[in-house]
Amino acid sequence: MTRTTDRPSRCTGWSLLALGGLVSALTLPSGCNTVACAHGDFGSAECRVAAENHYAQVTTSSGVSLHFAEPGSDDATVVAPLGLLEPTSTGVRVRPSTLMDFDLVIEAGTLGATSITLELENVASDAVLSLGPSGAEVELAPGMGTTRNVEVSLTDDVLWLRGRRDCPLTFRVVVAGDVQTNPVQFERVLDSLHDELADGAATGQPLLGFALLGDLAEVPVEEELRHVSSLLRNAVVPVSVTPGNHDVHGDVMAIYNRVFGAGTYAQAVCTAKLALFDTGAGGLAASVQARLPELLARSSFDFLVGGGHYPAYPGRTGNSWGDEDASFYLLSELARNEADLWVAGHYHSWEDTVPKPVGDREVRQIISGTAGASQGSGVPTFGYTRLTFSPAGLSSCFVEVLPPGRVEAQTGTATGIRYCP
Amino acid sequence: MRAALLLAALLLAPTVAFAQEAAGDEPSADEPSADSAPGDVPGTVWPLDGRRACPSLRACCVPGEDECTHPGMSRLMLGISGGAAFAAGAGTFLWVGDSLHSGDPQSAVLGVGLIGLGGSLVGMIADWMTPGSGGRVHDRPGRPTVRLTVSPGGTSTLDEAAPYGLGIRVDPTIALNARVSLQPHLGVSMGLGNSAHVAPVVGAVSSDQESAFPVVLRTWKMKVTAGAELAVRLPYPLAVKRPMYTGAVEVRWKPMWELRRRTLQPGAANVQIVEHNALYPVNLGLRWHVAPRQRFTFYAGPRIDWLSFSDPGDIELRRGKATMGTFYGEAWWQLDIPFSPLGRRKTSVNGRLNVGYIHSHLDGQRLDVGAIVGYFGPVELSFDLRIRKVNAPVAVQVTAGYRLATGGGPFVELGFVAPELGRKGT
Repeated sequence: MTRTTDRPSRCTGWSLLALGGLVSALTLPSGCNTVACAHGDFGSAECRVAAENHYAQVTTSSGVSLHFAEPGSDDATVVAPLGLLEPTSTGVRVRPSTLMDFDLVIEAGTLGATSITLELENVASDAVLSLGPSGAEVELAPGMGTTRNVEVSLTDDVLWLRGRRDCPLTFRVVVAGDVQTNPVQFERVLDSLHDELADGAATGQPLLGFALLGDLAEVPVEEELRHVSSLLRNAVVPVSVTPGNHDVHGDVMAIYNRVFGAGTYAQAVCTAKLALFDTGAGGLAASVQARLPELLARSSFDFLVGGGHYPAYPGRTGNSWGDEDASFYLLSELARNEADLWVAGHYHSWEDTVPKPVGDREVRQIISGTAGASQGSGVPTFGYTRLTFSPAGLSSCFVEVLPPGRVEAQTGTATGIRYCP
Repeated sequence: MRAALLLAALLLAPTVAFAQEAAGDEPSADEPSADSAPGDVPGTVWPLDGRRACPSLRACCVPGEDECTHPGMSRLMLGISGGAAFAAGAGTFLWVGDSLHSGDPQSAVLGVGLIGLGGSLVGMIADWMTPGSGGRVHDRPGRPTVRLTVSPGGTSTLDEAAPYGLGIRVDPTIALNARVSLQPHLGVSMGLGNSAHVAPVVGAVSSDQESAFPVVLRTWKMKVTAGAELAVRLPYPLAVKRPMYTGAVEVRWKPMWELRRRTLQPGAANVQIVEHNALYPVNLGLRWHVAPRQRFTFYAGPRIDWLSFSDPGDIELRRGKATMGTFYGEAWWQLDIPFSPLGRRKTSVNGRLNVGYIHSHLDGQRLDVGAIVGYFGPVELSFDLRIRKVNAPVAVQVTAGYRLATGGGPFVELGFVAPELGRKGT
């Protein structure tokens, strides 16, 4: 049996017409023109730039205005996204993002406010605070721990609260990322910093701070991020934070920036420049790319270290950037400025990856996604990477923080990183 | 929304077109040649049953063809192997994890498996929707010899600019013999202007701006690609006689080289150049003819990178050594959809639906799933339409598609199809 099909199609013309119409519809511009980030898409890296600038300044109900400024600045009109200011029931929560120096501008306003309470956190216990008009600041009493309350009498229209720390020649900074699925283990990591602080002091390598490289929460809800924020209030040293993909995806309320403040910022840590980048969307905001030459300018620093949640290059980890074009520009600027190191999390393991040739230089990278997150079916290794900066150079090792029940710490070298003795 | 509309339209296309059953066969431009000229007008009758047809399931023996294929059986095998690959990728991703270094190819395996599994299901639905139309499509779309690609620009953000993109690609087909074909490739694409980006922070702006946000970055991109694809159709049956009629298989080798150059001007600073060269020397794949009108193709291989940059204000690139890049892979499922029977009208019109996954994060395109960012490349949906005057040696092919990806979007292509080189009668 055979069958013949000979039905000429009248539909062909209509089909072509429909296809053409569809193509036309696809190419039409969408929506009315509006300013960037007007719709509050804080899952987008660019809109988090707007948010971190927004939360670096605040005006209270009593008319007092506060904002962060570049450390050492005398210009009270320029806002620097270097921290978080959040009104509370009793005053204003002040969380500098940086490990070392910070400057805060306080303007009394016109509503007749005479005082304001500042609830400082993330300030080193050895930081010297001073308050007063620019050039006439008065040193405040020293504090204990990383939180302090400062009662400010608004005696002048503009006051500056400045925090300063002494710089040793040799010092430590520790780095790790990825808390998300096990914040209890992260508490142990934070607790272990007491030992790190004591060990550093005993060996002449004081611990100056902790760079926490994102994925603080499993999902970006306020409850989770506030919990990690409360844990950081108990840290023995200041913690500089930058977000990961789990902290920001799909966010429409700028929760990360509202809880922690800035995600992208460069800071001086004595002889080192530490530049952290918000790579939470698997890329870099275009406006951050525009600032790469500035943020990664080595200037007169002995060391330049960049960091973010995502590895600058994934190696064989499979943990790639969503936008490799952005990572290529980052790598180029790291290479051009002769960066010593890129530190990252995201990969739930730790690795001193094979240096990446970039142009006529190489970029070195350490991944330390070990602050608590689930690591798969293998035996998990939690802890942080210790970076020691000294006139002799930069060295690194991994400090393991054992989970309860495990007693035998690992030794030797694994995946390119040696365990700290 | 647009992608959903496109998908719906393409899936419904078979219902608005009358399928045809072609007795003869002419491999398309991206396939090994057979001995027939594109202008031939074969009959439109072929046996659906009898001894020449496959003995069971949805038999699709086509006269003049060596291979007899059971679409049902081959789709079942594709579905099982695709599902296994998907499960292996997902399992590696979720359970093996980073502590055991599950590694680079996990997402590629997952994506390729998903295309195989999905293609098997969609193929089954397509066959149900067009009963009795399993014959191979004459002059089905393939890669045109020359094509122009346009990707729309435009942005709704004030003071930003996103230029249209324009590309040209040349892919002549050389039939080396009845089972082997070679398709060299050369392509150039670029933005038709600079992209402009603002910082969402009030700052100093130029007088021609409409918002208070300063333009802080201007970029321009271009891409050059070159390579070739060698396709070798394996003898059938290869090892055992008529191995369940599961369709012909081609081995494919598609070495490629890509150059991406990005020119950046941050603010008023001097222009910098970032150049990325990618070489895919061992990009190997298979094409599986799971049904006369349905194919599954995948490629995979390593990527070798050279990353170069210039100092600000200097166009001379600082070049260096090569390094391994991320693992590369792509998978395609294709469905031929004939719109009008050749020989009954003066023009033949045939369509092809393409669903693909590209495991790459270049060009700023990736598929994000919740917090899973940076693991998957884009998914592409496209539809080709080849239009040929009867007996004409050349044809026109138009393509509309959409990259389902962050940074993706629609594109259209206009192609010119020249006769294959080396084929008899052309």
